[in-house]
Amino acid sequence: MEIDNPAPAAEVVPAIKTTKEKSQPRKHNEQRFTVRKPEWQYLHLRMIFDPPHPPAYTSPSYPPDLITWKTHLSSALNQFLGLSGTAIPIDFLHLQGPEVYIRIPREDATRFTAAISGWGCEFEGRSVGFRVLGSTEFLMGIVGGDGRDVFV
Amino acid sequence: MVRVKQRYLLFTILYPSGPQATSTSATTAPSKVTQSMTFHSPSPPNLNRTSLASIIRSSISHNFGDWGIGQCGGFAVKYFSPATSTGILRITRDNYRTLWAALTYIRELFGQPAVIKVIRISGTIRKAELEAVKVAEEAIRRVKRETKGLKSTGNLKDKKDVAGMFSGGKVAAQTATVADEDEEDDMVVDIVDSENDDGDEE
Repeated sequence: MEIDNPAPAAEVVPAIKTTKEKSQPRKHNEQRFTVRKPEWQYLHLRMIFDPPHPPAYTSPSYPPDLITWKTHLSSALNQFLGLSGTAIPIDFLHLQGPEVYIRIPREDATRFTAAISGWGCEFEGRSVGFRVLGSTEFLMGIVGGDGRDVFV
Repeated sequence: MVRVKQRYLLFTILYPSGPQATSTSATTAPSKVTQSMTFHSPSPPNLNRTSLASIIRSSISHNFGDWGIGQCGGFAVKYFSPATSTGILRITRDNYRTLWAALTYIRELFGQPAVIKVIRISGTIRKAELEAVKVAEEAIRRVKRETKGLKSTGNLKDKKDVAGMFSGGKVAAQTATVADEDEEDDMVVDIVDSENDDGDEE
């Protein structure tokens, strides 16, 4: 993946010039960076309930708070991956109703997604599960928009 | 037809705190037992291939969950000798590191502090057996070296103790240690024979 503007992030490394690129004439002020192996994976998750809650329903336990999220995610990870799963660090970025935006190390993303998608439990008379609404290596990928306004 | 590749893990169990008081036949305090003999002491009698497998399985389950059991729950304890606390595990080649990690994470066996050390990874069980013999011989040599220093208080019956350590405690264990050359050599042959006998069962 290539971006034309130099991004401020630390994980952006300069691309290695290949012979192919050398042969092409390049403008003096043009700089290219290739982002290799980003550090994080951003996930957009929703907690799903069965039977579902009514649209405008709220209760002390309904839109689940971050502690509830953490508890359920840990339980899912512990079941599928054991202690090594609960060791995956989860950064909660934003909580919005029954949905949450989180950030995890990119290397753990596959295991993490596998663990939470296959999990379910019974909680306050409802079945609880997770749905992965989005998964991307860049935050812009899940917050929506084309990201053009960032570079204005 | 594709052949399923295996790995054989030769491991030894170390007991940092030595054998439990109940498991030793000698009720008198073994005051002259050397450090390495304490470390490589025999396993408790209730530790056999079956119970060891279930301990390892629970360690895998605890550390790596359902995924871990699915990946490397198919291991087999091919050989285990409580006398030398040495054993061989078989596991598919892709998963031996997970199993190795699970072994490393085991901290106690039957309430006794223990460390499982993987000595060698091998593609054939034969190489693992040969290494086990080599390790056992080296252990005896080391004990002999260490006991040289204690020779001044030499007791003729002491030699039995080293033999007891490495022959499943059948030889009555007395206080430590100095061993006669001839008896040591016999013992090495014993160990070599028993290793091969057990290994051939495959």
